[in-house]
Amino acid sequence: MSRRGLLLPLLGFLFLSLGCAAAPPKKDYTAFRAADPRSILIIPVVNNTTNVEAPGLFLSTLPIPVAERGFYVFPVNMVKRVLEDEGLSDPNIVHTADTARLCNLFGADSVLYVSIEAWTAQYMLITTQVTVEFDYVMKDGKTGDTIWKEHKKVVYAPQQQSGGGSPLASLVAAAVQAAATKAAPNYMPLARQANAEVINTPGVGLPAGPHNKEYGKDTVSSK
Amino acid sequence: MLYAHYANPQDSERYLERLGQIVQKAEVEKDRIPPGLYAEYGYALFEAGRLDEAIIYYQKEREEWEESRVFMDKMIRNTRRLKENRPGPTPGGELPPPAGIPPGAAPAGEAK
Repeated sequence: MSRRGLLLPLLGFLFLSLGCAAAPPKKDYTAFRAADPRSILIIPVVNNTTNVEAPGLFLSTLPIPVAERGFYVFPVNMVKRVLEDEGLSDPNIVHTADTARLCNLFGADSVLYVSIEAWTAQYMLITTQVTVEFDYVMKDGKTGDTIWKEHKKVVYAPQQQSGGGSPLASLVAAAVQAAATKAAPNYMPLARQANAEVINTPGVGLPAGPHNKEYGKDTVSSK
Repeated sequence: MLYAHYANPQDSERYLERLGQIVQKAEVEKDRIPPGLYAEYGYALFEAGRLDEAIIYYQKEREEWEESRVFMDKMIRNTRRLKENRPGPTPGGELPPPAGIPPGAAPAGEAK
């Protein structure tokens, strides 16, 4: 294989896995399997950033990847409104509330607690670097114990074209790209990428739920 | 979809309409309705004051996904209670009255 052929996919991989330097060790799913949740209550996310839009936007990206793992996911928007009606409109308070009580309210088996640690666009000379970072914790509704957790940071910086074309043209292209990112930093694809890597990665992500064909097969401990 | 709703939450009529279209589409195309979809639509109907229809969709969610039963039963009970207390100046129950409904019967789909 030529050197070049090896380098390109490698670069692609590096780009995708930015933020998680070393390959994470396989998780111990004993607690998860003991709890064996069928349903997951995704509560409003805690926002540890200054971006006011981030929590609503990010919450909307969570149900689909979790449901695709084979779990019943409670309707996130409806849950948010019902919690508000119960006087729990501040996600920080919901996150500190008793897990078992929360689960009782909805008849849920488990709760997914997510917080946004970064949701920023950093404007540099001719490029804009967008960063998102999240913390995911899942707790059992009966015991309140943590049964799964993960942390993810994804950074995106539009690459400057190099080689080919005049230097001036590529500089203009980069400037145009930066202006576009500045006008509307594209957080959503990054948020979805973070979720997909966290939730779907075999060995570290969520084990398959009862509505997934892989249920019970994907976390068999290797002896 | 939900993203658009969060980006522009004021546009609730449009949200209801689009959610309805998604439900219809899913009923035709999917083997199984995704979890929470019927419930979200039911809740949007509830917020629009269309309580009878809301109950129908809560029931659909409940039948499609047994994991939702506790929650849907609660919502159905609350919605029925709210219905009984109408018309009245201040409907009781745990849930606040949906906004934008004139006292008395509000015909389904009534435009503002």
